[in-house]
Amino acid sequence: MRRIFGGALGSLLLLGSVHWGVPAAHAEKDVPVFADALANGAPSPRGDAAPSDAGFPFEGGSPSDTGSLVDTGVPLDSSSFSGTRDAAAGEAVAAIDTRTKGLPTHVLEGDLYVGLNIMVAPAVDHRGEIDSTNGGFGVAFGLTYRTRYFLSPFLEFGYASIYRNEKNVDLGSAGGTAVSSGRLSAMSVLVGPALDLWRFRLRAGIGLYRLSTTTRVLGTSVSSDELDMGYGFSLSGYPLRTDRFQLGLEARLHLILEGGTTVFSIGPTFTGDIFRW
Amino acid sequence: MNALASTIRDSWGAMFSRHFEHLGARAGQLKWILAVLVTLALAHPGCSARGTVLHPRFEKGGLLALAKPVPEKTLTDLGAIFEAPTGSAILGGDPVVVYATRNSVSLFAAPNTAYAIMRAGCLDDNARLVLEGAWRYSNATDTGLIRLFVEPTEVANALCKELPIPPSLLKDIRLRGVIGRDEIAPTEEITMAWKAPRSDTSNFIVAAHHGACKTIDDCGASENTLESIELVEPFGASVVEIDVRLSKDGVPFLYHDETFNPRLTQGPLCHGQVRDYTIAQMRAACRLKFGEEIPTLAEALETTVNDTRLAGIWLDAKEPEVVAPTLAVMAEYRKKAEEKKRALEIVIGLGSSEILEAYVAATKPEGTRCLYELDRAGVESTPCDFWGPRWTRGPMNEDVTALQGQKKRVVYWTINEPEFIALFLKAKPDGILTDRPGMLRNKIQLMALAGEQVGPQ
Repeated sequence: MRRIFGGALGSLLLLGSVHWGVPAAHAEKDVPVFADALANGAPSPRGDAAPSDAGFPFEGGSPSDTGSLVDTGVPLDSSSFSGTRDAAAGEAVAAIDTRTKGLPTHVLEGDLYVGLNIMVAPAVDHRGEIDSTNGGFGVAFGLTYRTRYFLSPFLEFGYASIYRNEKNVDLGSAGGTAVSSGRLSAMSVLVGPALDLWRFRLRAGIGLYRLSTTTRVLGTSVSSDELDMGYGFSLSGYPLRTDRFQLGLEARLHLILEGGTTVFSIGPTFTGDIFRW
Repeated sequence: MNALASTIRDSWGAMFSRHFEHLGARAGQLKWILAVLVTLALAHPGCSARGTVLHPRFEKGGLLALAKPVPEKTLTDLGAIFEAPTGSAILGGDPVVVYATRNSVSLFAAPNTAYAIMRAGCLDDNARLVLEGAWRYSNATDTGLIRLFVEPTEVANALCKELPIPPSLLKDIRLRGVIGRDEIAPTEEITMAWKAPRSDTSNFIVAAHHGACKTIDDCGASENTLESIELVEPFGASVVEIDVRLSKDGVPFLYHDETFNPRLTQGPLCHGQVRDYTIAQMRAACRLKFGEEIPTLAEALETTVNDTRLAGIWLDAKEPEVVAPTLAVMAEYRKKAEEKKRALEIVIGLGSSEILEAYVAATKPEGTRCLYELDRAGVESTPCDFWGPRWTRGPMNEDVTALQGQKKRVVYWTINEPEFIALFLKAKPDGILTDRPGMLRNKIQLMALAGEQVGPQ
């Protein structure tokens, strides 16, 4: 109960931080055409924004809402500088206005991950095992909703092959010995926030894991499954990126609480902006 | 917060520092994130604060490795009440109940619900009788080794030679030796002097819940195992309660929950609904928490009949489907117990109206006995000999007396706190089911010593 309560509380806090909303402090992107604007805190085409040296407007709208770059609470544009000795600055702002006009403030992003898993817990008692494979492949796809806020909610569905073995079994009073084979896999659905920092993304999700196990012995198979609460954490790095797409490497940790199973996974990840508005 | 930002800035470089400065300015939000991460960490089972229980043993088997076993018939004569220990304070300052079975000697003390389980051996051509084992607080993970010698020599000699203890020497009996903490060889001196003979409380049922202890209490065996059943007597109980479920292939077996889970089982492939598994598949995929196989009911009864002197076994049927197969196995082992001249009562526990209906509908071999766990009216309308009310309903003194008047026996379940045990004993039940049978054994012996009635009149 403590764990469930603690988990639920943690999730509320986590999701609450998204709801309360903090404008994005995302790292700058390597998109040359927007380099100037980014340097001054304007949103990137991916919805990210780099902070200006003067500080970023935390309340009352972002630059992409107003076209302004200064946190005065009053919308600014290049005309604010007309006829003043700051005309040069006004021209610079006008140039950036032009470049940033029409940039999206909402992006629905699709994510795809394929990786190799290894079961970290529980420790395996290898008594009687003839052969075993710890881990397997994992795949996940999801959606991330990016806005000017620095936390982006995501929803993800995944599958992971976790363990398989073949072993000699003493059946006791059930009769003699036999060879059995078994395998364990999990399907998951996770929700949570993602935090983008430069070329990295950190995610923490809570969700449900459906652990499925199949055991075959004495010529018959039995499958059983259970639904467990758990957490998923991931850290991604994206060395390759374009305006709409990113390709990188991701490390994941799944803590399947009631199932007592922890799985680490690593592999390539791909993201692409599906809708922008 | 600034220190955190500073550390990150130093290590991650200028690109990151700019962003974390902004996070630093938004300390409120960062605080929430950290709170969430800490909450998640605390919620994960790997971060649970429960300590690990040691099961210390004497190096190289201790003196018992050099000793001869004590004859089974006489060791029980050592059972008595001893004065509060002098020397070490580990077992507290109250009288200690020494409970001897045919192959073990146990100490039960009230403070910290301490117990010690020891084996006995004769040394030096029967001149010395040594008791060696481990002590533990039931309510904590404190544990250690204990080694006691039975004095005077004449008593040790008599027990080792399978002779009765001379009555004139009873008051001179002392247990003297050493006790220590953890796995370190014990050095604290401890002495206990004989105080009074044990009282005959054999009519009172001290029933052990799920075996000697719950898995989570870690007394050296998982609950509902053969190993745990063998530990029940040293832990002070005369009856064991075990949980029975039905496998997919129709075999009654011992297990409490509806699912296989890390609380009770281990094995990467051990997940899901218990009813999905055949016995063979269970054996292939699962082991119990401390590595034991999941036993069938037949194996459990075989162990109870052959390897213990328990007076009874209470089979708690966890689902209606298991009732009929369980009745058949019960009949088989009643017969085996009779053949071995074992006075063993085998009773099926009925914990819900659905299970009761299954029991009523089932064909019952002659001699089948049941325990009904719900209301008084229910037990009056069933052929059950026992009523097992849940303790949370209160002592219900009048109901207890009324049912005892109808020749039904009353056993409360499951009481673990000394204060509640004392309260419920006032209702004069026939027994109590507990996770701490040693504590209950201590309580009823001290009550009897004080002249109080234990159990029904």
